[in-house]
Amino acid sequence: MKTRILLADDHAILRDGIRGILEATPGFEVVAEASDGMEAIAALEKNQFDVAILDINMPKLNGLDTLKHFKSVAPKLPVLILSMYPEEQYAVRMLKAGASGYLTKEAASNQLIQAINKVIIGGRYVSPELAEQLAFGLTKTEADYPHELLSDREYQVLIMIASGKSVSEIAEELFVSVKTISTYRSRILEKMDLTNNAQITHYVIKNDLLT
Amino acid sequence: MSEERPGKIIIVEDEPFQARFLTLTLKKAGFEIIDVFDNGKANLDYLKNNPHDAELILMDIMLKGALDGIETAEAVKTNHDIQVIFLSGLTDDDVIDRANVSTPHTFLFKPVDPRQLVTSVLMGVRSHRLSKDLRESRTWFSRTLDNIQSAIITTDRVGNIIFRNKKALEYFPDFGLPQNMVEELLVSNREGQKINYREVIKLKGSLNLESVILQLPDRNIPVDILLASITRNERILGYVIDIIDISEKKAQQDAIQKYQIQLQEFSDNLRNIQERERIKIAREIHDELGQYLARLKIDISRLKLDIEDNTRLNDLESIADTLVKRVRKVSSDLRPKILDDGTILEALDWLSKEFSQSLPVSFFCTEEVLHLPQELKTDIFRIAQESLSNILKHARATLATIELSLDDNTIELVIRDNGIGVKKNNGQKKKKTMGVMGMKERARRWKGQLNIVSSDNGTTVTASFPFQETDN
Repeated sequence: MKTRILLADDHAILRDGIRGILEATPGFEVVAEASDGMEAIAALEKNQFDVAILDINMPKLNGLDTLKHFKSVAPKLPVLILSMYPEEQYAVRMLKAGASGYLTKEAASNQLIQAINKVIIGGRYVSPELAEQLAFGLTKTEADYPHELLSDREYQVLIMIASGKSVSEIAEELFVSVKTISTYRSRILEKMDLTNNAQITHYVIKNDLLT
Repeated sequence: MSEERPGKIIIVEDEPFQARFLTLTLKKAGFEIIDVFDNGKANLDYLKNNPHDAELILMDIMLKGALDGIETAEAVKTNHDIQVIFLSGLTDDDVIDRANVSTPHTFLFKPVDPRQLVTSVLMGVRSHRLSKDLRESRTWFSRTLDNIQSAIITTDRVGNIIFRNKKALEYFPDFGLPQNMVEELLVSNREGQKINYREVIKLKGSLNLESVILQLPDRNIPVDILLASITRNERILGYVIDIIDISEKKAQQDAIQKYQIQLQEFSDNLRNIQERERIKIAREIHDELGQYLARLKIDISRLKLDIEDNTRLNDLESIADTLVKRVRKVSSDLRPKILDDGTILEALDWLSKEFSQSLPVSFFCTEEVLHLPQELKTDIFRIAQESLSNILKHARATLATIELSLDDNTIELVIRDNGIGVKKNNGQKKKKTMGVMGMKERARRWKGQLNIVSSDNGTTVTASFPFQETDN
């Protein structure tokens, strides 16, 4: 049985190129094409698909909104987002919204088939470069350790507090106002459910975060 | 008498012997005798035709003819500014009282002592000249003051009006109660409260009230008021009040302000247009050019599969790759997509990462979520971007930070660097100033402020924007 594909992109020239790749691959079949988000939704109503490839930037209904609709109508259908924008700006957002993979268009020729193969069996696909970074970002909301809830910047401040530096010393070192560091400190305490600096130091040492 | 002009005297005396005695005595003493008349009417006729000749008249009280000396003197006083000395053989108090009404310089009783005559006439001439000088200088001053555009009022030390120039009369044609005049003028000052002007003037010598609204019976006019004391030997004699109509100045200022607002609107408009154009061009380049390039790359990659020796195709593929990256960079430089789709926090975070390729830039934000109107977001972003560009170009810094905070309904953006500071007159001043002007304009259109503090240890740009966060 062939893998049934919905391909949505408003640029015919690129759509043709992508279809070319897919059709040259045995086992893949482009069942429907759409040139905007509304057409993609209409196609979804008429056909069964194994995977949907959506351009992030489409007229009438953009990729993100189309994705959200797809996820509410067919939550199990893997969606692969194609984009002209670099991964670091949009990949996280799209994956959080339910996409199974994110691929820049110029990478499509080399990675598309690999990506489809991965998402149709329930996996997720991003470029290897981003994978590591994303793994951290995506698990943030379901952290095993409180400190994983912190942003990079907050973590930096956490470590400095733990090493005994005062708020003003940290402000001076990081080249920002005392007010900002105070706010960061309260936010760290709140996120980690701690009440004072001693507890921060204790936590950091206990978890061996000072290296 | 040697240094003075000889006094010009008229003698009115109907006794020839007496007239001759007077003439000779005075001529001998150096006076000029203009004429001798034996009756009052002849004297008055002469004065009518020669009003400015005589300085003093020696007038016999008992004259023949229609007018006696006293009546003649009264007529002289009414129409002329000439001193009169009465000559009288009578000692009747009633006559003297009657004569006094015409305010003569003095009386001489017959027989007249020659020395007393000369001395009295000399004093009379001097007194005439003094009062004439005084009147002339008064006229001179008041004419001068009348021709001044501002209203001048002088008062004595308790506030009674002593003098008003023409403009002051025009403003206050029937000024009833002079006692509280200054207070009256100042009731409508800016704070609506009265000022104890005397105390202020006593301390400072003068008091300047700018842009006071002066309430006239028929209209209100904006004025500057200058109050000053007139002192002599540290004693205050009175006050001078100078009221200057600044309607015209105000109108000019208003016009300038109007043009300034127009100019600001124009510049805001231009900036919006520029941003819109940037968005359009960025999208055009990115979405159109980019798609074609991506397609090109896809096809090259597929060709590679069909052809065995694909070295040249590899070259082509890497050119296509570079082109895609260039297009992305050009588009992002024009208008980063994150600015349209992301929050200001995401946009600034992205910006700090972009710049971090050349200079470590950390972004700190005291808010975790901040939703701003698109244009405000753009202006904050552009200020941060311009500041970082300046740091990169001029500051020779090794570190920079961006801070964004929201406090008391004010968004504050602070960009710091540890560079060499803003050097004055480094040849690039003008260009740099234009950039700073642009940043200030961006803050100004949100009623915000932008300040730059620079030292040898670096520069801090602080932009603050009043902002009311809405619930949605």
